[in-house]
Amino acid sequence: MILLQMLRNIFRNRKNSLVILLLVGVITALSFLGNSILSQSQKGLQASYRENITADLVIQRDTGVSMSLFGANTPIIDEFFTLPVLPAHEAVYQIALSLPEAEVVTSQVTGSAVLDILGVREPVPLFGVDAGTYFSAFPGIRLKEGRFLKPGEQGAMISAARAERIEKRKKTKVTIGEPLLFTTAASAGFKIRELPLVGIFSYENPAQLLDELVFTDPQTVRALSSILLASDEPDPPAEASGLLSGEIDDLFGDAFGTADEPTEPDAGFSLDELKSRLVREKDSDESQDWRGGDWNFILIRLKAGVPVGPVQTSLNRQLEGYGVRAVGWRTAAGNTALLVLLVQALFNAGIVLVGIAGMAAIVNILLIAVFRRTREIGTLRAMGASDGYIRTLVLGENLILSGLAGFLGVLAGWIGLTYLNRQAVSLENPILSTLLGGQIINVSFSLSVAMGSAAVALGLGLFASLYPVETAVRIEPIVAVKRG
Amino acid sequence: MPIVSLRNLWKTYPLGKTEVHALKGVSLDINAGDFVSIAGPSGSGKTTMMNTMGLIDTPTQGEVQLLDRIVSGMGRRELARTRHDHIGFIFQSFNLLPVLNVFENVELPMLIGRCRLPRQERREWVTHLLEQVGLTDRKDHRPAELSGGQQQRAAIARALATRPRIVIADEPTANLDSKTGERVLELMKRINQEEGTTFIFSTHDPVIWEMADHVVFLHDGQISSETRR
Repeated sequence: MILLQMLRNIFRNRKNSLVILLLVGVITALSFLGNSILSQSQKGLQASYRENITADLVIQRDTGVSMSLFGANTPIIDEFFTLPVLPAHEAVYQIALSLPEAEVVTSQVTGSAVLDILGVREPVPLFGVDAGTYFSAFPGIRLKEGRFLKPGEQGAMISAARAERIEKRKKTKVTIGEPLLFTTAASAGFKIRELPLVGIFSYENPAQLLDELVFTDPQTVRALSSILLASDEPDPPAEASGLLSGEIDDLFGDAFGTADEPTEPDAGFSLDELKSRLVREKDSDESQDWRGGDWNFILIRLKAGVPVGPVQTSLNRQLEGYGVRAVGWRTAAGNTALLVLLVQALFNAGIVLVGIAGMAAIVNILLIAVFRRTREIGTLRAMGASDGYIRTLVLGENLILSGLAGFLGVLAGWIGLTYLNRQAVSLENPILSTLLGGQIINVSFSLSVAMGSAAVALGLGLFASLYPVETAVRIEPIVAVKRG
Repeated sequence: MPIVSLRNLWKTYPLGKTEVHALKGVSLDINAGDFVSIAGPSGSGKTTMMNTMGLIDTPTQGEVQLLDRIVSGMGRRELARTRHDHIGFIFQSFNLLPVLNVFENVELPMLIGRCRLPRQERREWVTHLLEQVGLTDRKDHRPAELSGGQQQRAAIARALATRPRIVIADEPTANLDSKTGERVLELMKRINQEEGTTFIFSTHDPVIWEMADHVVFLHDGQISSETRR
């Protein structure tokens, strides 16, 4: 009977009911639509990053600065930031390897250089990878041409997208074995390396930003980034450093650049000299133990279905005292992934604000409805209805309305999504396309998002009802007579 | 043994800086099975006294005893329970719930209390009550589809639904024409005689109060006279 009473009251007060339906429905539809897109972007990012470059956990040096595989996650810091190497890599690697949940453990060193291929020069991020394990950690990386790098081999792999871009520009096919020239110029000096192209890859879950990556051997990245050189190079000779101890004017005194001083015609930088230096440094690189050198990261792919959080917590406990820490894929993916989190938080904050405004309006409508029904409620009280009965009646009506509004809101949101998907909106911006997991917007229906949005509607109905319900409960039976 | 007993009942309402005394030391005993009329002009305190006896208002001073129990110490919940179990109300404006039909309105009091009858028994009782008040053919109608007299008859059936010992009716004929009013009172009288239910109703209509066997005249918040027949 009480349900019947609720339903008939809803129908009888249909003007109020419609306004509440509309308000809660719109908020629910917005929440569903927005969170579906954000959930899609989460999935897209996860597919792009977790399956392609970050795996599940990344061990990095604990510097107090949030770091991704590409550098510092704070843009201003990143300008002056050099990725630190892992201390006690071997010990930490063994700890990671001993995790029963770990499927693959691999190491990586990150750098950047200018790549010269067929005369096209492009800045590239370099991932120096442990080729023996890296590609089994990322089965999403597919070989299109050539082969994967071999352990200890010096060579590089570029993405199919880059190869196509260069081919289009130069109208020449990029072939396996093509020499790739990598150069860096930094405070540690000018570095140049020539490596053969051993393979061209693509991703199972493509992402424009990741197409820029170049996979190479770790010793090349270390050399280009001066990781080992910086720590192992001997101090400069005394005569060189002595120059710095004198007066600054002495550097530009009589002995420097005077017009009458004869200059040696062959004293300048020659191509032969460069090549001989290249060979010398290359020999020096090869003499290094490629596996035992410095690394920036250890990447861990967990077995399928293993929850990441508990493993991360337990691993970080084991890593205490090593000066390193394990981070999740989102931190390791960098700003793009963190941006989604920020956008999601901002969006939901917006929804909360809209919800609060909507709730204020609903509270107002419900209060007016309660005042209009004072005689009816007073009559029920006079007949002996308990507080619980009145509470159930008024709250029940509002929850039925909110539930219906939630369902209709999700339905409207789903129709909106279907329309959006049918429009096949193309995203030219690489960040946006990475965020949404593809260049064409295609947001799938998520039951959990739908249920979450319906819960938002019910929550809204519940919270908006609290005050009006208590107002209804406080109505005394005597008003049934007074308003009679 | 009185079923309702009022002792030195005062009810005072604040009115700005002054006070209005609606009841001034009223004492009254009503016996079980009485058909009582509280008569008096408007503003004499009839409604206040009815509300106090019906436990929907509390006296400023004095004591109300109902079914041998002093009600002044009762909390909200116990008052509601007592009202539900022992008192039926008939309102001047009928106060039927507009969203329920006649049958459902009569059934409702049986559904809002603690002890509920089995469905079949409940429906049989409602059908019996509707037969008693002559509304069997109107049981599926909503209140808005009924005449004033029919609505008041439905309200009488509703007041009797929980088999109360006392039915309190505040000016039950005020919104009815005189002929219909008399019929409603005749119905109440018949139920009083057949079921033994105590009826207490207020009126300022001499034709109506003449039908009561116990008439209490109120004037200016005090009992001016009391007649038992």
